[in-house]
Amino acid sequence: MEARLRVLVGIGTVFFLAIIARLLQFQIVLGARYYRLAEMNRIRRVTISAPRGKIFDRNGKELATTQPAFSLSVIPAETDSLTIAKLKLLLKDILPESSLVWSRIERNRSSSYPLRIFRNISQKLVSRIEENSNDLSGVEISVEPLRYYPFADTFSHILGYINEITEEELKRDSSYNPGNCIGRTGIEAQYEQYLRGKDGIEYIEVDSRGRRVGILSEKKPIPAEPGGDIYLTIDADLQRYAYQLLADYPRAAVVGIDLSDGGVLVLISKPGFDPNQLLGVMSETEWQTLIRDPNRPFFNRAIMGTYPPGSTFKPCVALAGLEKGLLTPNSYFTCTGKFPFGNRIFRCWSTHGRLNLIDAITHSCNSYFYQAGLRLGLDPITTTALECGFGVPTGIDIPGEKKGLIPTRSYLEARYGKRRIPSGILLNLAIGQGEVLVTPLQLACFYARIAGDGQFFKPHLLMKTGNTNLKLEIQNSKLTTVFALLKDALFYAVERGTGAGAKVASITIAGKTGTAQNPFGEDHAWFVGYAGTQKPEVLFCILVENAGKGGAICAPIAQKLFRYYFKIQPGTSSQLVSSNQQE
Amino acid sequence: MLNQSYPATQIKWKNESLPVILVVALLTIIGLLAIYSAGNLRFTIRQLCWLPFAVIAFLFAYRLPQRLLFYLAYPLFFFGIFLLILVLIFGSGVGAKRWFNFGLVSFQPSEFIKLTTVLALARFLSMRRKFTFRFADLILPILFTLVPALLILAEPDLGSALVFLPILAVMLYWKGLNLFQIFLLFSPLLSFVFGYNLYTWIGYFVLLVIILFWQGNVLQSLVALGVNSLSGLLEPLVWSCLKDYQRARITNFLAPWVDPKGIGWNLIQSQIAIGSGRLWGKGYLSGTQKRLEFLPNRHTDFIFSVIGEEFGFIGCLLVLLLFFFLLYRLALIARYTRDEFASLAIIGFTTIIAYQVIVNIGMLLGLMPITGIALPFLSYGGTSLLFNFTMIGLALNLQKSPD
Repeated sequence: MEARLRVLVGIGTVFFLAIIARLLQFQIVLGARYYRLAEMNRIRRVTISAPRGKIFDRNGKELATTQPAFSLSVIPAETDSLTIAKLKLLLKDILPESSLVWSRIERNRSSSYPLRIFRNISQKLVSRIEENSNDLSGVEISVEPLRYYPFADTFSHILGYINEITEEELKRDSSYNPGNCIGRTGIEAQYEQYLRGKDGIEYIEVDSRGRRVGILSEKKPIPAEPGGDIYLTIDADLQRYAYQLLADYPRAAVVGIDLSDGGVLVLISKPGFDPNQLLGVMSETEWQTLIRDPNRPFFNRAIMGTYPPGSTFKPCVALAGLEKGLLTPNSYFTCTGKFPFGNRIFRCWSTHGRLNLIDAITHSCNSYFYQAGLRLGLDPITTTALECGFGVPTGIDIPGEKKGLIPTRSYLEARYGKRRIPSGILLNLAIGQGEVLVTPLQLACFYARIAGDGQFFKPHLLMKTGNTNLKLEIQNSKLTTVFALLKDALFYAVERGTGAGAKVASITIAGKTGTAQNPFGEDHAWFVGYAGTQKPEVLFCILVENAGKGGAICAPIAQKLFRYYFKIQPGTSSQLVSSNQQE
Repeated sequence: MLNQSYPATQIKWKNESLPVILVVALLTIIGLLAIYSAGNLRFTIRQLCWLPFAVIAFLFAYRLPQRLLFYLAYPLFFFGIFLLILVLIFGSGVGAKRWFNFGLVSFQPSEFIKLTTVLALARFLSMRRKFTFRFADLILPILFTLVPALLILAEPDLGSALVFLPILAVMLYWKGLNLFQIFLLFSPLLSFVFGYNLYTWIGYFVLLVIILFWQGNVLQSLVALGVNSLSGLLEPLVWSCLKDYQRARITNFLAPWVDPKGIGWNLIQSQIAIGSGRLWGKGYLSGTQKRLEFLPNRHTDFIFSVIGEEFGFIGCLLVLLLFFFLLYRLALIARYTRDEFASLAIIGFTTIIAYQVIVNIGMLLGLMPITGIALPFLSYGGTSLLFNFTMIGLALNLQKSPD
C-alpha cells in the first residue's frame, strides 16, 4: 500500500513539475516578451479570405470571378463613440444612419473580431479614410477577393448569388468565419462547399495605434486555400443571344439542352437580377424594390415556374395511347371544330375534318385528343406522364426545383371527393390544360426523351470541376413504344403544321407549339423542339408568359436560336438545303 | 470488508478533516476573488449564491452513514446512467447536450455520474477478496466506466468522458493490479490512438513487443498483440468509412485548437496573460482586462490565467502548492483508511480532482489539448462547485472509522 501511494504521488508530482516548468518558461524566461506584448502592443488575429472558385462556361468564358476590392472593417472593442460618429460622417453616402451595420457594431461592443461593414469601397473613400486614420483607431481597410459577375443579370438564375453569412448561420456551422459569403441560390449554393475554399489565419502584432508591426512568430500563419473552379455546360454566347431575343418580353424562360450528354446550354428566366448588387451592403429600399417587384426577379421560372403545358402535352397523350395499344397510327377521329360533352361544348381552334394521329399532332387538333382522351381514360395518361418525368423534379443541379403537378386519380379524389371528379377534367388533360402543371425544364426533358428514342441524360449544369469530368447519368425510359412515330409527327408539325415558324430549311427540326390557358390573364406561349443534321443534337424549350399563341411568338424565337446554334445565316439557308437534308 | 490491519504506531488520523477543509476554503476564496477580477460582478454574486448550497452538500455528504453509502452505491450509479440518457434526449446546450436547464439553475449529469461511478466501482472492487488480471474479473469494472464514458462522449463532451480512464486505472492499481497489467489493459486504446498514422503505430507496436517480451507470459502476450493489432487496424478502417464532413467534425472535435474559430486565439491570449504576470504579477485587479475581454470563458475554464496575470509565478505556485497539498492529504487519507470500500472511493475522488487540475492548467499552458474542463473550486460554475464539495465531504466522511 505504501509503495502504491508513493507511485501515485510520484506520477502526480511529475505532472505538477511539468506545469511549474512551463510556468517558469512563460513567466520568467519569456515573461518580459509577453509583458511587452500585453502592455505596449496588441496582437490581432486576421482572417485571410479565401478567394471563391471561378465559374466558367463550356468554352472557358468567365461567368463569375473574383477581383481584389477594398473592404472596410471595424474592431468594435477598439473604437469609441467618437470614432463611430466620425466614421458615420465619412460614410453617410453609402451607409445611412439607419443602416443595420451601426446597430451591429453596438451589439458587439466588446468584440475584438473585425466586423466587415462595407465591401468594395471606392478608391476615393479609401484615401479619405487613410487621411483620417489617426482619429479612426479600430477601423481597418483591407484588400479582399470580391465576387464579380461580368454579365450581371444574364446568368443570374444559373449562378445564383452570394451574400454575407448571418449570425444564426454562424452559430450553426462553425466552419465559417464572420464576414464570409455564402451561396444562396443557383450554382453558388449547390456547389458552395467546392467553391468556398478555406480561409487562412495570420497573427499579427500591431502597435498602440493599431498599425501593423509584424507577424507574430509564435504562431505560424495558415495560408488560405482558394476555392475550386467550376466549368458549366452553359454556352455563354448562346445564352446571351437568347437573352437578347427575349428583350421585348418581361417574363419568359428558355431551356436549351445538348442532347449528346444532357448538358444544359441555356437556362434563362426573365426577369433576372444583378448578383453584384447583392454582394455589398444593400439599403433597405433597394432590397424592398427587388423583393416587391411584381415580376419576381428571384423566381427562376425555368425550374420553379409551373404552367399548363397546353398542346405540347399532346405527344404524351399519344404516347400513352400507343403504349396501351388504344391508339395506332391509323386511329382516325373527326374534328368538327367543336366537341359537345356533358352539358359543355369543348372547342378546337379550327375544323380539321377526319384525321389520323400524326395529322392530329401536326395540326394540334383538340377534337382528336378529346376523343382520344375519352378512349384512353384518366389513369393511362397520368401513369405515362409520370413515367415521362412529369410530376417529379428532374434532378438538375441547382436548388429549388419544383415538381409540377400531374392530376392522378388519387389527387383528384382528394380534391373533389370520391366519384365526384368532373368528367371534363379528362378532356382538358388530354390537351394539356386545366390542372396539369409542368416546368419548362420538365417539358424540355420530355422532348429530349422523345428525341433520344426513350433514352436521355439527366439534365445537368456542371461540366467539370478543375480537371475531373462529370460522370453522366443515363436514364432509360420504361416505355417500350418506338418513338419514331412521335418524332415524325413532331417533324411534320414544324414542316407544315402549327410550328412552321421554327422551320430552318437546311436542318431537320421537330417540335411542338403550345398555348397555356391562363385564367388570370393573357395565355402563355410555348414552343419546344429539337434539331440536328444527322440526328437530334440540340433542344430548346421556350416559354413566354402572357404573350399569346406559341406558334406566333415562340416558334420564331426557336428558329433564330437554331440558326445561331448551327451557324446558318438568314437568307443563305436555301443553298444548303438538299445536301444533307433527310426526312 | 476490512483491509489488512496497519501497525498501531501509525499516525492517528483522528482529525484529518481540518487541513483539507481549510485548503478547500482557501481555494474557493481565491476563486471568488479571481472571478470578480475577471471583470464580472454578476458571476461573482451567482457563485456566492451557490456557495451555501455547496456547503450544505458538503455537510450532508459528511454526515451520511457510511453503510448507507455502500448500499446506495449501485442504485445511485444506475440513476446517474438514467440521467445521462435523459440528458441526451431532453438536454440543452449549444451544439452539445450536456445540461438540464431548470430556468434559474442548470445541472450537468456528467458531474453526478463521475461521483457515483467511483462509489459503484469502490463497492464492486471491495467485495472481491481476490482480484486478478483475468477477463472475468476485469469485465465489470471496465463496463462500470465504459458505459458512462460512452454516454458522455455522445453528448459530446470528450473532456468529461476521458476522466473515466484515470479513475479506472488508479482504482484498479489501488486494488492490487501492477503497473504492467494496467498498461496491458489500456494498450488497445493506445493502439487505436497511434493507429492514426502508420509510423507512429509501428513505433508503438515495437515498444509493446519489447515490453511484452520483457515482462509478459506467452498467453498474455498473444492476446495483447492480437487485440492491439485489431484496434490499430480498426482506426484507419473506421476513418476511411467516414464521409468528408464527418471527418472534419471529428478533427474539429478532437483537435479544436486547429479550428480557426477562436479557441487557439483564446489560448494565445491566455498564455500572454499568464506570461505577462512575470514573477510577482501585476497586482490584484490590475490585469489588462481590455485584452482579456474577448476571452469568453475567462471566469470559467481560463480562470487560472487571471491568477497568472495578476499574481504572477508566485501566485501560480501558491495555488499549485495548495492543490498539491490537498491531493496529497486526500491520498494519505485513502492510504490510512482501514475500510477497503472507503479507501477505494477516496482514491477515486482524489483522481477526479487531480485530473481536473492537471488537465485544466495543462491546457492553459499548451501542454494538453483544449477540452473544456473547469478548475475545481476556482472556476465559476454551480454544479462543479457543488459536486467538488460533495466529493470532499464524502472523502472526509469515509475516512472516519466505521460507525
